[in-house]
Amino acid sequence: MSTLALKGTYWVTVRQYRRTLWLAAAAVAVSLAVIGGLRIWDAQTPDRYYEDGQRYAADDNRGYEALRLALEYGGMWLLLLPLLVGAFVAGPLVAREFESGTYKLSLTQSVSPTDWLRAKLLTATATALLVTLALTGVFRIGWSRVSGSYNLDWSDRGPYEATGTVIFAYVLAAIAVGALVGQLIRRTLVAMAATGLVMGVVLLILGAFRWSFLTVKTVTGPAGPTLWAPENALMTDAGLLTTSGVRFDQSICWDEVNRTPGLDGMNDGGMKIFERCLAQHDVTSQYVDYHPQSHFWPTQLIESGILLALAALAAFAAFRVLRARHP
Amino acid sequence: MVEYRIDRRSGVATYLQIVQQTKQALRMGLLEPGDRLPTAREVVEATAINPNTVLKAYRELEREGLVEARRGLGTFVRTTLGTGPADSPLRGELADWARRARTAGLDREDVAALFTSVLKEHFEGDDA
Amino acid sequence: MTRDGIALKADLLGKKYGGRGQGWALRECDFALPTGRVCALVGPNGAGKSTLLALAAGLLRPTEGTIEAPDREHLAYVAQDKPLHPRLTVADTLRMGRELNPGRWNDATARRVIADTLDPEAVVRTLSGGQRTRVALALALGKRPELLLLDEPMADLDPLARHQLMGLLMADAAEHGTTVVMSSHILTELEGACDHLLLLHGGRIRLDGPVDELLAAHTLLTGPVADLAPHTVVESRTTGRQLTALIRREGPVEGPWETRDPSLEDLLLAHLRTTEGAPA
Repeated sequence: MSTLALKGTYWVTVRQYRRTLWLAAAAVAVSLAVIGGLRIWDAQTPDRYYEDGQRYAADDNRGYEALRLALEYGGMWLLLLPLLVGAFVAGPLVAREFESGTYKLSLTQSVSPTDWLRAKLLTATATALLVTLALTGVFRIGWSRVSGSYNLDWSDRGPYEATGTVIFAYVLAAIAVGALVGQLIRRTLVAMAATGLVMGVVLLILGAFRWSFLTVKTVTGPAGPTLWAPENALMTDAGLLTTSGVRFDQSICWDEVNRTPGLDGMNDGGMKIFERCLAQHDVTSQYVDYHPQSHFWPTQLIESGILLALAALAAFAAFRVLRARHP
Repeated sequence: MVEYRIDRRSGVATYLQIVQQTKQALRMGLLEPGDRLPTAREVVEATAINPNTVLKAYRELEREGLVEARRGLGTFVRTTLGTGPADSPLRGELADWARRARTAGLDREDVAALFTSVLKEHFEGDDA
Repeated sequence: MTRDGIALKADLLGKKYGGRGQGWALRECDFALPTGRVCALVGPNGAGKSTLLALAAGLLRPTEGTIEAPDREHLAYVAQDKPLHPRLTVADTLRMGRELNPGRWNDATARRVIADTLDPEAVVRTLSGGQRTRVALALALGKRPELLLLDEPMADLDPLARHQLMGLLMADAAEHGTTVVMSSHILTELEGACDHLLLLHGGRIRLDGPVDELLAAHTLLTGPVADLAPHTVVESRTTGRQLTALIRREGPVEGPWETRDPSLEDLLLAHLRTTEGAPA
């Protein structure tokens, strides 16, 4: 963390938040040590082979289990990174200057308020992006071994963010939102909490809607045997179709089953009635909606685009607020 | 070089204190022609008074012809004042007189009162 | 920038803080402070001194009117609470002054304020109030400002440090012609150092001008009770048949009164007492 080459406001910012920078570096080092260590542990037990020659981790490979678990939780921790970054920018970086009055010092030097805030935000951005890059790199070290296992699919929350571009976009949005909130709420802790909340809500909303960005692909087949989506696909919906191709609401038939008197006495649980009902409604085939793995990058880019737009908007507002208050 | 001592409670204007202390130094021979007065910066750093007060005092001394400002160099003493050095004949006579007054039984306040009244009689109307 | 010869100028300046129950902190302030003056900004607590200084420093926007001051490159401001970054060392804080004021910073000036009283490696958080003041003043003077705004600068200092730092301030003013505005409610720390006076009370300016002119324009008199016209009576008290009054003279004082020149303290106290009950 050499401060030799830095000048002006950048030198001041780095000097002021030296401890945080060391902390971030330490966090990266620890995560690298943990994942690296787990990979070494995992490598101690040789893999087994199926008859078809495919390998799988031995059941007694505790190292593999630990690595898998670390990645599951690690992915979740990575999701907290934007919240942490946003809270740091809102609180210690911006709000505290106003709360403690040091803005009176900073804003009466020869640099303009805009330069002052820009230096703070660019320093935070460079650091946060580097840390994110390092952490996603560490994630990939583990991911290359356990991808595709339970809860660790390309579309799962955690791996989805950690292996694409969105995590960087979330971090950028968090910095901009933090800069705005920190100025609007000039109390360190309140600003941190508010920014964490805003970014949490953004994560939840986008997480809920990201699989609606692209239209799903659909496969259809005759009703009866299990209908499979292509390998690695993210299944979003499945159901029954009538001969005319209309999606059929199964609850209609289940309601009919439930209305039948003496249901408890039937040894098939009412399946006959259900099947008769389907036949009456002309149900002959079924469908599965899914996102193929090829939707990964387009979805990443759309989500990143939304976040970058949010970041730009918040950053613009942050500088507007600053200029309005401090000529 | 002189060192000014400012008494804020004396009721005498600060610039006058500087003027008086300079004159006193001239009378005592502590300052001689060619000597440089301390710069305004030096005076205010030591006394924490306003720079303009020092400049005002120096202007007053210059107006009275006691000092002259040389641009960029400082303010310099031009003349001596009054009876000159401390060992002048007049001072000796006054010292003799003071000794006689003391032997005659006068105390310090009596002498001061006597001196002031004579001073008043002979220098009536002159500026302080 | 301000016009020639004027370092700080206010025109019908007013500041009202937002929020419930908040009134005008400053109202209808009109003044022009010539360059090179050392101005005492005095008034009781809550008179609007800090607000006026923050407006001059560009940290607040006026609610009405205007204030003209040098831009932020050419002014320095030390707020009342002497804000400094708590985790930086003294040396780092001075380095910050250099980094944030490229082309203006003078290290020797700043170091003269610190003198040998502080360990450069001491962390700001561990400093006493007086030591913080020293560092804050070092930052302000090291910047070589044209206008120096100091809010209660000497409050945390012991008498010795107060005298020494006031001396340094005056030396800086003497050397560079810096205009200084310093607020205080303790008059003794300003008397002798200031040649200009701004008296604030209730958010309004009650007295404004060069100290010697203000003093020369006023007279303290004692004597029999009588009409003091045409003079303006600032304050008067009667005890039995005796009158004591501070007046602003209109022409020579003629009458059976004993007169004397007021001290700065007489003048300020009289003005503060008479405006005490006046509507703000």
